[in-house]
Amino acid sequence: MPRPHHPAGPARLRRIAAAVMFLAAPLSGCAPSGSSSVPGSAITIGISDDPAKHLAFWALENGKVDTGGLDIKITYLPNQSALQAYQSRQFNVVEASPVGVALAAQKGLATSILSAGLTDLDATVIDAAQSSGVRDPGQLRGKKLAISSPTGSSTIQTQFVLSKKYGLDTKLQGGDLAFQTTAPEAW
Amino acid sequence: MSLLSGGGVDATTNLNKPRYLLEHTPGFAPILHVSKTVHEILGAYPVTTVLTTYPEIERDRKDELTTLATALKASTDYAREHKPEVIAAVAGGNQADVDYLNWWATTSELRYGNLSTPDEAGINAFWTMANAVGQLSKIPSLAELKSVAAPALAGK
Repeated sequence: MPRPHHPAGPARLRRIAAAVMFLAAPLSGCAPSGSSSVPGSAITIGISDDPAKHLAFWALENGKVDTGGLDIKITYLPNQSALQAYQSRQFNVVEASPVGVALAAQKGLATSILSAGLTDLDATVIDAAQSSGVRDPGQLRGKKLAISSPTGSSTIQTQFVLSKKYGLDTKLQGGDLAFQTTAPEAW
Repeated sequence: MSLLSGGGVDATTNLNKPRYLLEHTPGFAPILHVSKTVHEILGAYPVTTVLTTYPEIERDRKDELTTLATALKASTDYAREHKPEVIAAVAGGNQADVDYLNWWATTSELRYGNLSTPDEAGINAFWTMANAVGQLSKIPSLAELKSVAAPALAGK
């Protein structure tokens, strides 16, 4: 039986506090000029930048679809800037993590979901060097697993699957694996 | 790749360009397709990003938000229906090559402007996972978090 997952302690609290601080600031403040609520002005969108995401907006940006006369301004943001844009309410519409929206709601801070963004069909995997001898996820007990962020979508999925299907304790600290947060460039 | 090849770590959770590069390098391979396994367990593919808006924007610009979402859906549909054209255009402009973008399109789905039943299931799947691993203390109600401009998208 998979062991239940009970993350606790200072590390988890710091992560939650950071997320709440990030979300609380924007939602308690006034909308800056870039996020006008005046009807008829341009609708502004902030999207975290990734080459593939340009695929979604190319037709819109190149006059291939009807915008109903609406002036739509799309800004692509480096990931960290996207977080700041959400914090500062810099855009009328901004891309966010579903978990960030839920955390905001739990704190009584209102944002709402206009649409889905990306669906992960088969994007997230665990890779290993063939020289490591690790061939099966069940062999990861006691091993070091690199992640790009402790709160990222790929990490959440990985923790969930390794716990539910392989019975590993996937707490970020003190579990069956040693999670190591590292920029992907170093892998 | 020095950490992996040098034994500094045993494995990596990986996606997008880093995964593409790693899997096109001899000596590395996936040992688990994580998001596919999420689908096996929860019956939904996880929606990992959403478009959000704010109360005053919804209050004052609801119809425009609906128009925006409709245009975003049309743009997303265009990308799917004219994939070679759009990939060729984007590949020239932002340092992603055609091979990578074609590969990426097999691993992820663009859903901007959509909020259909599978999208809702994917958002709930993500919340379920976050709750199970301790990042969310409770799973929220999507009905309560859905924009007033979003119901027009349902079923599309």
